[in-house]
Amino acid sequence: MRPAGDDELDRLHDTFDRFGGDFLESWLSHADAEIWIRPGKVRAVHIVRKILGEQLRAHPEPVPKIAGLFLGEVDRYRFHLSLEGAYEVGRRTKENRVFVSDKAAQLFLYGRDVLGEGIERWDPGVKRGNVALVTTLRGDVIGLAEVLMALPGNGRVLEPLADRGWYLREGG
Amino acid sequence: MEVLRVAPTPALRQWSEKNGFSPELVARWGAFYGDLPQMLKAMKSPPLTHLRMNPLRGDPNETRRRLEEKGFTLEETGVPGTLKVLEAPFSAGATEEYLLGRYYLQDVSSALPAFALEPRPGETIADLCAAPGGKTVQLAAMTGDRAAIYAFDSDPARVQALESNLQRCGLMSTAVYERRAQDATALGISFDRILLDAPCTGEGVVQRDPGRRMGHLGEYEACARDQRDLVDLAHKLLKPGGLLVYSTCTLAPEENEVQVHRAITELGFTAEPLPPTLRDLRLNGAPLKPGLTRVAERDLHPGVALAAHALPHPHGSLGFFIARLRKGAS
Repeated sequence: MRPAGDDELDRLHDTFDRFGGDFLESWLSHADAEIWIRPGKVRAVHIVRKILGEQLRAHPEPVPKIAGLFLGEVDRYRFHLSLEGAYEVGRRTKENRVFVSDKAAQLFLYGRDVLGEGIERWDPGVKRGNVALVTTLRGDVIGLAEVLMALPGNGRVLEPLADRGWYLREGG
Repeated sequence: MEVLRVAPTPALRQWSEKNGFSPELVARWGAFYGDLPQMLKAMKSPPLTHLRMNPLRGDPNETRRRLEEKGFTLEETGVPGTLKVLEAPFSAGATEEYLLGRYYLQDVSSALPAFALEPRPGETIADLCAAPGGKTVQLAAMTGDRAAIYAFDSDPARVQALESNLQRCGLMSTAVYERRAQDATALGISFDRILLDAPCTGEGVVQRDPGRRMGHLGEYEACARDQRDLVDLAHKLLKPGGLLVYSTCTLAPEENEVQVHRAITELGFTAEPLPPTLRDLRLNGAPLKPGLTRVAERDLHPGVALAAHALPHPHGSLGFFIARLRKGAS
């Protein structure tokens, strides 16, 4: 693992901006954390407390399997949020959220689509084709979904991209 | 030390065979802990469900309120942050709150080693046998996610669970190594504190894993050897004056008190009293039981008495052993 380079940080800034504001720097400052990359076929982005980052710099070998919180993956063009990335962004933004009923949330956590009747409200600007933060009525982001039609819509409105039910199904 | 063998009486042998327990194990428990009928009754009962709040992912009072609104009935255990589940409309591991990382399912006795370690923000801490991660999450939560925590485990399937739990609970301060604990020496780090929850014969978790009712005494020597090696390793990895908490989920003195005795007499560790949180604790109304200082007519170092047991009876928990050991300052 290594500290993130400028190009990777730029991708993060762009994505956070699309999700409602460039709060990356203030988050890192408040959390006393920094961004690290786990290289591979796709570069994994992690937020790591500085106290751990200092140790990782001083003692780089052997390499950890994972360090810090996995925020998502960065490719040549974009940064793609993970479940935890979505959760953390959701805590800091008032954009791109779609709030769903308790029943719809339960089904979503099983990996099911959200139907129009399950949509309670949404942030302005959420449009067809967006990636939305699927949010409970208590304000918790439980996953990411593609918006299939203008809200509220009828039938299948949100198609799951990632949901926290994964922790039960495959988390181990 | 050889594995201690206690001959079962005919009545004990008959009861054991009828109930699917090893007569030799039952005889040992009676010899070491007494109150055998109550202990066996507890071991045959289904285990209770406990949950441990994760304040890193939400206010514990809010989490409790949400669960109670869903129909869960929860009760304090006396261990800070750990609740007993008295009634559950559905599995506590399937709630939205669990998936959000707001709590971890962990027996009340499993929470005790981290309290004994007293981790602090700013420290460098190792969890040498970390998977599936309940104690790692607890260490991070106790330090506000502001220590540097190194978690080791070598089993790939268990490391997957470890990673998943650390992510689910939102930790930024942990590094996971899919390696044996022995590989930690390659890092070149001297740790402030180490939690060694050592692999063991698991007699204390019979309620959860009935297969362990038929444990074979031959396994005990191998486990004790491995534990001895891990304690040696912890000694090497600790800073002078650093703190080790050694814990197991077994009742076997060869794996518990004898290891602590050796750590004191051969490695120069000093046994320390457990912190007031544990010394003053009443689990199911009973204080933790002190470590045994006389085993098979052999006297162990008096410092062993500073260690403690949680037992299925009288504590209503899984069995756990905890000892707090300070490495010499020079």
